[in-house]
Amino acid sequence: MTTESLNLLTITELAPLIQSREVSPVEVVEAALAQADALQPVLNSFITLLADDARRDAKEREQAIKAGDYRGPLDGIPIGIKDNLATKGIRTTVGSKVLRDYVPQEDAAAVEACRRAGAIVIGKENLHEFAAGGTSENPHYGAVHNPWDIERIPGGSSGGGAANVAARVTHASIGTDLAGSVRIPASYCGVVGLKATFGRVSQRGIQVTSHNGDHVGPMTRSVADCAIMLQVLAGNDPADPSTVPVDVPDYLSLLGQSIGGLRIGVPTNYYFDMVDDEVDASIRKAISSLGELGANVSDVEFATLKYMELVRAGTGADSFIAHEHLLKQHRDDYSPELASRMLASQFSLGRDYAKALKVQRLIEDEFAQVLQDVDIIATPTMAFPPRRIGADTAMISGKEHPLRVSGAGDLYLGHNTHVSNATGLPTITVPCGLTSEGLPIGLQLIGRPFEEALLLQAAAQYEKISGWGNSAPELTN
Amino acid sequence: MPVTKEMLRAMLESLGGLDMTDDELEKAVPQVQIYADQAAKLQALDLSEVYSGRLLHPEEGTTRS
Repeated sequence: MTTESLNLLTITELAPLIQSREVSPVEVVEAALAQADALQPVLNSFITLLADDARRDAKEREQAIKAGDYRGPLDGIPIGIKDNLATKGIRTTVGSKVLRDYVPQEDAAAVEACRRAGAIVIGKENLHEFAAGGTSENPHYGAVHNPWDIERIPGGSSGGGAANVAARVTHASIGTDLAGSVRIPASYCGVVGLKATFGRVSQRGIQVTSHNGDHVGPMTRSVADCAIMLQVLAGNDPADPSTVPVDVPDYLSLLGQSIGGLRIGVPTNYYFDMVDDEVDASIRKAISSLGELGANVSDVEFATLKYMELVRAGTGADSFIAHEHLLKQHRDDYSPELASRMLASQFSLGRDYAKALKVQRLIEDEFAQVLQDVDIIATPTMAFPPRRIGADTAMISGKEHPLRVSGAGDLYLGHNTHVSNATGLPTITVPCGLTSEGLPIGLQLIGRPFEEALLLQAAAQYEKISGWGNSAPELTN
Repeated sequence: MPVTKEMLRAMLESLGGLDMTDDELEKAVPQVQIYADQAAKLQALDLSEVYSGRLLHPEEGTTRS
């Protein structure tokens, strides 16, 4: 098998070849490193490439598998890790100048889990500075480029990971999602991205983050690969009190089940407020396809989402507290934009913060009510296509609109994704089309707490008939 | 309520917080104004019926109104 053909395989396709020893982890890792070397000058998707470590680990896994120690479908698979997840003995910059030389003494729980499953980490992936924005235009390590159009942002904050999965560099990448940071780049790069229920996956080892609503999640080329990743990541972590000790189902085995009779709700407000015409058409078509698969589609309304801006106002205080100690000593190492945003957040009052949490509860309550009448909610992941790198406007239905990177504002990248961080509900994005300019569009599916299996099942059934599964940008040809 | 640099400086002096230069305060004003506008909306919102506990299933009894 050629290097190129190994890169093109999904985890689901590659795993049996590794298990049967037709392909060695060493060959797979060499293929991934060759692709990384070729595309790093174009995509700038890594902050630290770990070629030597990856070769050593691949050799170890090759020997172990030969000796009968095959650990499952992630064994010998090259993956990338967002550079805000701690890696033992490997610098973890969080995309910042402040932590450019920081070397953690232990792995994050997600990294531990992937290594235990035999995955090979080939690099630490580029991201938005401190994961605090949705573009991955990093002032210290350079902007990440979208493989579908290298003049465009890949989304963020996990932009390097999504770009790598889309460009066939890694077979999966691990990101984090505080307001959409897995789903935004997954949607913009045409890959699958999952934010599981808050409490399903350990957050232990996410560096410099808020205490309210961060998640670790995978980005993959197919829904089945996403199920494989979640299987490895999910579970109670006694060292992370935010995780919940609930059973973890066999995600992969449930993927083939029919979605006949599944009740899908389509919001009549909020999620389609600023949607681009082409995105709208693509999402409506995807929802029709789910109907053709036997799902019952109906309208739902979320009256409380008119208050989502108020929740966002409250989250600024969380971010400030996460950064306070670093701002005290290293303010000059922050980009002026981020320092300014963080410093402004210190003026939030406790009274307002507490009220914002009550608004968050109001929204959570409404979702809980609606999700008694439907099983899944379907929305666009991103309302509009990725903008050009460096631009401060986005095109929506052929018209330019001013855009804010993050924080409060009129047009916000996390508009459709942030809600699921406030509710903690499991949410997946799956590719559902391309715009006339060839830019990916993502369908977002939101489910009930700990019902990731149902989300994966619906996404897999859609992927099977949509023809968008495992789509690759021309760059990879 | 319009937010001013002087107002922010006074808040820092009386409530504590990270020191900010004149330039930093200047840049913070429009962002704090957004927070202040949102906070005003929050204060106007009646959240007295939002409880920390709730009944999820109507068939099990009364739901919150």
